[in-house]
Amino acid sequence: MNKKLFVTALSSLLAVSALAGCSGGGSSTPTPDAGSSTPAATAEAGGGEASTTPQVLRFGCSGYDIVLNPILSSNVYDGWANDLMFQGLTKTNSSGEYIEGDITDSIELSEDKLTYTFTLKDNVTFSDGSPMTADDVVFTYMTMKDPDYTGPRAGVAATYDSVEKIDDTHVAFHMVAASPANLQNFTYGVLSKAHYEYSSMEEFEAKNNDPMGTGPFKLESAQAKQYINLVKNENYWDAANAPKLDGVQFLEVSEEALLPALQNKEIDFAQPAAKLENVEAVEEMADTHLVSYLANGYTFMCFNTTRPTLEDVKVRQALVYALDRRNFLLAEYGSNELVALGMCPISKTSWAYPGDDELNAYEYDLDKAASMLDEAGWKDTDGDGVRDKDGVKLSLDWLVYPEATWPGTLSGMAFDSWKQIGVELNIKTLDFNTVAETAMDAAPGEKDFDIYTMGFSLSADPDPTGGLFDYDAYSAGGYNASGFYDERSQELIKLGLAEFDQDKRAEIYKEWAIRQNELLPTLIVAYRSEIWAINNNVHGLDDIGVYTSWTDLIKDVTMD
Amino acid sequence: MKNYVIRRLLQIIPVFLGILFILFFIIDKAPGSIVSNIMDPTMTPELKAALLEKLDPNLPFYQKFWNWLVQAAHGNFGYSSKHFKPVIDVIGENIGVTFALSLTALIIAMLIGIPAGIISATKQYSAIDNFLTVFSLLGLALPTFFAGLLMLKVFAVELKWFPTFGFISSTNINADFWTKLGDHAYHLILPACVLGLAETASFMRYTRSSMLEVIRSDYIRTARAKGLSEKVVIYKHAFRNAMIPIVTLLGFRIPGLISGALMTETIFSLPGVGKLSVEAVNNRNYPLLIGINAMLTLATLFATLIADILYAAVDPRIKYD
Amino acid sequence: MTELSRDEVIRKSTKEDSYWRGVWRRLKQNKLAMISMVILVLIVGACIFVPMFSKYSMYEVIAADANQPPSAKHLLGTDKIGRDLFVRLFYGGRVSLGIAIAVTVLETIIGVVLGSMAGFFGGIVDTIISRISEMFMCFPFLMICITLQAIFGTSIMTLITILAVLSWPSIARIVRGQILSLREMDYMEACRALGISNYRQIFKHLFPNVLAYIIVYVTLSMASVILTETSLSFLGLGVSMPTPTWGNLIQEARNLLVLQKKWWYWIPPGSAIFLTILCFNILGDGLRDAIDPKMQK
Repeated sequence: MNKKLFVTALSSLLAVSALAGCSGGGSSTPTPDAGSSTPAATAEAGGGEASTTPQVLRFGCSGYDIVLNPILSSNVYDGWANDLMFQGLTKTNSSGEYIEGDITDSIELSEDKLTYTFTLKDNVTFSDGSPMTADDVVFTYMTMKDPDYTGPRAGVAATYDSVEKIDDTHVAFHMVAASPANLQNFTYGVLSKAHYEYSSMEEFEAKNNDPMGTGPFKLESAQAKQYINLVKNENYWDAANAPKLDGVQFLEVSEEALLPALQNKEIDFAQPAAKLENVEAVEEMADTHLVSYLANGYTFMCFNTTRPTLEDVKVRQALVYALDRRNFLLAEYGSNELVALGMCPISKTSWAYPGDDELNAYEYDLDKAASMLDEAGWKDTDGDGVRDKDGVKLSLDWLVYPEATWPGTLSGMAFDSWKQIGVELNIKTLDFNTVAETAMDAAPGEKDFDIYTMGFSLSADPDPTGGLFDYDAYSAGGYNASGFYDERSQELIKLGLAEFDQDKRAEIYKEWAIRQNELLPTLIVAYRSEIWAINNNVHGLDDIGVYTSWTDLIKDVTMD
Repeated sequence: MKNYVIRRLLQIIPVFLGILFILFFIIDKAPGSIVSNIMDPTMTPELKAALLEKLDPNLPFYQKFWNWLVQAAHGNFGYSSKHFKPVIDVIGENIGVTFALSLTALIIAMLIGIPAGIISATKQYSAIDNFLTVFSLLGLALPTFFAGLLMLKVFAVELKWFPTFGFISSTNINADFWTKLGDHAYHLILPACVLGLAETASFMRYTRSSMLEVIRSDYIRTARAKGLSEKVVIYKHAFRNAMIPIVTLLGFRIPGLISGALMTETIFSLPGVGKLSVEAVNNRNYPLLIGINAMLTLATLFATLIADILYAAVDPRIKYD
Repeated sequence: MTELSRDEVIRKSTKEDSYWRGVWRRLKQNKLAMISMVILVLIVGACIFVPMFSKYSMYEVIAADANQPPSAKHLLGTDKIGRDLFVRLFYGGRVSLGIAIAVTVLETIIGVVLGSMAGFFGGIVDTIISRISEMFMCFPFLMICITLQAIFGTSIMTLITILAVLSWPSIARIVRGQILSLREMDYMEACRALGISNYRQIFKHLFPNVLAYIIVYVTLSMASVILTETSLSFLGLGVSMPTPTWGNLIQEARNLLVLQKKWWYWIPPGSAIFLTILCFNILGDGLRDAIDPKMQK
């Protein structure tokens, strides 16, 4: 009997020590609490109106990095938490124009369009009660220019030469180049210089555990991949616009569990993927309603126009005619309300969108596609079912990444319909990073693909510089992988940036967008919607829109 | 025996270094980099290249390997630029849940699998043998993610017995230690069952196989012939010898558990190193990836070492010189 | 060849004949195992023959029929873009089973050869092989999958190679462990004393004794490769779309609403995976009992 016990004990010991062996490599056991401040949420609940439960809004989604610093975060979900804790010099209004931020009184642009002077409100304070001044703005924006800075805003920092404090409430930005899109660089939240001042970048980055901004909420605690718990900032400077909520919780919920969690009231609102299944599920839930709108972004399909198979615009157009995009949208998104057929590289929500009548929708037409290929000289001369020309087969490699489902669906449909017009398709599934490396990071001439698909969300300004359609970005690491050069298009991009009048800019971008729609270096596949499922006991979030984030609405949100 | 243990301990070093070396080599050959994911037109190729140079200087892989070793010897296991934190902190935040989950699952699997295997073996071909065989296989025959979704659907969504996500209820974030501990356990039950179910079949099968083998061996026959009671024969003599392959099995369930934990972590929204390592791969966050793999490698190596030592301890037939 | 050894060969072969006949006889007594075998034969047969006689091809998109539940026209319904799920299920089975067989054969060959060498020769050979197998066991599976798929392309062959190369250590360790303990047994001592060659010792005397374990492992491995393929599809590292595999097909069930409402998406591939794995395991058990040389009276 003793021996049996010995064996059992040893085997369990094995399990335990094996696990303990692992933790030797890591740090000590994580404490349940991220070692942060007082349990303010519970304390507050007790104070004031004794009987009411604290009003805490719970948002669920999957993928927080918990980088709670507006100039370091590149994650949209962390970004929302940062939006509640920090405030920037500019923000967008509901029509996508950049206007004064909550802490800014006015913005002045110099004659040469190179200097922006911001007048700050004089009563703004950080959550510790200390006043915010021009010093804090200078500190925030100069940190982005620190040689040791490795955050995602290096591109923003490259747009200005220097930031100058004029007095406590005036700060001037000296830009590198005049551009109507410059105001989008000032949306990042202002950090407290006194709190964040650092001697090494790691010291600065360590403050992510203890953020301090001027926003209506502050961090109570956060736990990696579990939650970010924000509580009301009692010292909020803008008493008139103070939120009515006691706190906001960001909870990590897997995509699979998102709707069930909503149904079980474990979370109050969420942004499920815009798909018919999700819409139907939310509509069936008794206490939940849906808000949806067309988002500012698109999915695209890039053709490598340096390939002999794809250099002819007729071939590209034929391939698009042979793509049943309407049925694709139906299959992937389930309804036409959730998505719009992609037309041109400018979002339908933008002031620069040309209008559907001016653009070719490339409606599905296999006969037309086949005759266009005939015209372009691609014929099946060897009878193997695949067209060829000058000894080159019309056989294409399409890079698809599995992180989203739509590239698989679209390529699966193309596989069948293109076969019918004599085009052979090889679908290659690679992870997102590998697709990006192959299409973008590789030098021109080494970009080893014929087609790749991806989705982008856009900034509110339609300027395409440096993007998918800018030939200047056709380089190793640039975002243009099509390699397509059109002189007029490049001219228009430059003209758009030289013009400060929005109506005139709109005309320029319209002409540009129509050209891209016709020349098709890259097809815009679809404009997608975003949907929000909100519990009926939450009021004040229904105005979420393409340029109105839910964090913009927070001050009026109440809960039953 | 003592010499054997020391020798095996020493052998861990070259294996560990070998794996790390190959890992650095693979990473060197892997497509993409930590900046490939940046999709921001203001980040020009020059800025991206400069950022890459800061985050991951262009050195030969053996140089990086050597640098890592030197730093690790000083207690610096790298910096995760994605999280703006030292790698060791990032792993530390996630490893607790993975261990709790794996350990619970392992215990569930052993508690069900080993007795089921013994009963099944002693009553070979009986109805109960067939029932236990099929039952233990149910867990194995379902893909983990699928079993997870079904359990989530039934027990969390329909019956509402368990929470649908996470490691702690939102109301308990500021609760005291014991409330939190209870809440954590409550959140772990469902995912641990999913993970444990898949492991149960392995334990049951190996126990059954190994018991059958032992029961038919000469010395058990001798024991029976000596007139010892069936209970003593089975539990004292047979079981002890049948444990040998099980012990080995325990040793190499560790990597399997971690990869199984990945699916469970994903579906039940638990923080864990499984999910973390997938993210590290997807983002090409190499310092983190190396940190996680170095840790898991060490864990696996020690687990197999202990399995081997136990093997020697329980089987007097094996001689070690 | 001498007279004597020819006699020996003849005697040996008849003995082996009766050995396998005995295995078969014992296997037939195990009803559960026989049922499993019949089911497996049916599944494999269906996967081979059904796609040949279907009027649809597995890639054919009939947009008008998209998202239909099973009907006379589409026996198992259609997927969201209008592909016939009946033909895709069986074609998917071909791919999934094909991968499972290829991986199992490869890893078993590598594992058995290396494992028996380690167990038999011991010493430095054992040390080297054991350490190499440990290295393979500890490899970061995902990183290797992504890297090799990026370098060699996302073909089924790459997938098979990766899986086989990464999974041989399990069987190698099992074989090594068995041989290690068998080696110490009396009759092996006798073999050595009689001066029988290493080759004969391994293949004539040791190998049959570990065969039971190998067969258990092979059936388990068939099952686990099918599961691994499913997991890889979950992570998007499986066989490229639009090629159907059971793993790719069951991914549709990732949405709880699909799970609830579009049962024809996941019940057929789910049952196929479930049944196949179950049957392989039960058959493995049955075979193990039937083969075990110690069972012979």
